[in-house]
Amino acid sequence: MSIPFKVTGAGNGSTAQNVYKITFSQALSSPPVYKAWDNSQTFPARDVSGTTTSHEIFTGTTGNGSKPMLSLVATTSSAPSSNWKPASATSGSANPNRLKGSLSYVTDPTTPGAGESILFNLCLEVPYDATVPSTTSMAAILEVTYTYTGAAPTVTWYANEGTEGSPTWTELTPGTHGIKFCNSSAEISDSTTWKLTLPTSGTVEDGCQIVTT
Amino acid sequence: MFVVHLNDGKIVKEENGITWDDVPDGISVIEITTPAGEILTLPKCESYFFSNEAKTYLTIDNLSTASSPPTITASIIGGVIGDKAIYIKIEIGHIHIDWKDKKDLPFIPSVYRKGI
Repeated sequence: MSIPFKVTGAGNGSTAQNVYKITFSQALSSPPVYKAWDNSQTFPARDVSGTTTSHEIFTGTTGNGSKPMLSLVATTSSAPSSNWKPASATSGSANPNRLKGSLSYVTDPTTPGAGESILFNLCLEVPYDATVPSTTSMAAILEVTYTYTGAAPTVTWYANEGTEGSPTWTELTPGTHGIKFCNSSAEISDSTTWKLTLPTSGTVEDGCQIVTT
Repeated sequence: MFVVHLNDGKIVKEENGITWDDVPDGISVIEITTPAGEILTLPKCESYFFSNEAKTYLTIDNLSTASSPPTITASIIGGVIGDKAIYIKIEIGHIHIDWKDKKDLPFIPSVYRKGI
């Protein structure tokens, strides 16, 4: 297979462990931490660092009770239960959690050695009254902070396009490849279907996540 | 950059590929140079720790993402005294000094070096 592809096991309805992977070429000295922040730059550029969480993806809307919309579960040690997305954000670190800067974040349960990896899954839950188009309101950066004592690690991001039992890890090339949160009906062969449709009430989760250029 | 003075009189500096992994036990004094060129000297501790901190990103924009190369954001150095630890985080333009509980330090055991 090749890019574009649907990421195997992505989203809240999945109990998959092998969805996204980050590999470190050198040993780390503490568990990596996932946080998310506003991005004010135009894709694929990004802010040098995250400092604020004022965009709608973090503040939420009246329709979702003002909750952060992006959730992450660290799956390095074990697969999550189905419907792992938490109902609300937990202050500080929790796994899984809804991400909002330093207010709510996820710490991986492991400290990778040289050549080892961490695994995670994502979910985007968007309420009916979210701003459309979402160009600015959903602009964010997912940040992974890690520490090391020796040589600087080379960090590589992957997504699984194989199966849960036999993953095929495809590298996300910096600034080239991206991930779209889409309806489950999205067709790889038709990019016009790569969209997430808002409901008339309540919220909608991404039905699939597509790696694309 | 850290400068470690060892009990045997040797000095280990973070330069020319020398990292914290090259620092042995038996530390008598640790100094660290800030981005502004100031030198901080840690108090005497039972053990010491050091790590570089870096960040890597996925950009989420219009429901899409793209990865970016990692950037080094801080140096973390400190020492343990009893159940407490002095924790110094040096970023460009910022130096944060905290007293933490030893149990709240995130580092794995191999990070720590014994003092004298």
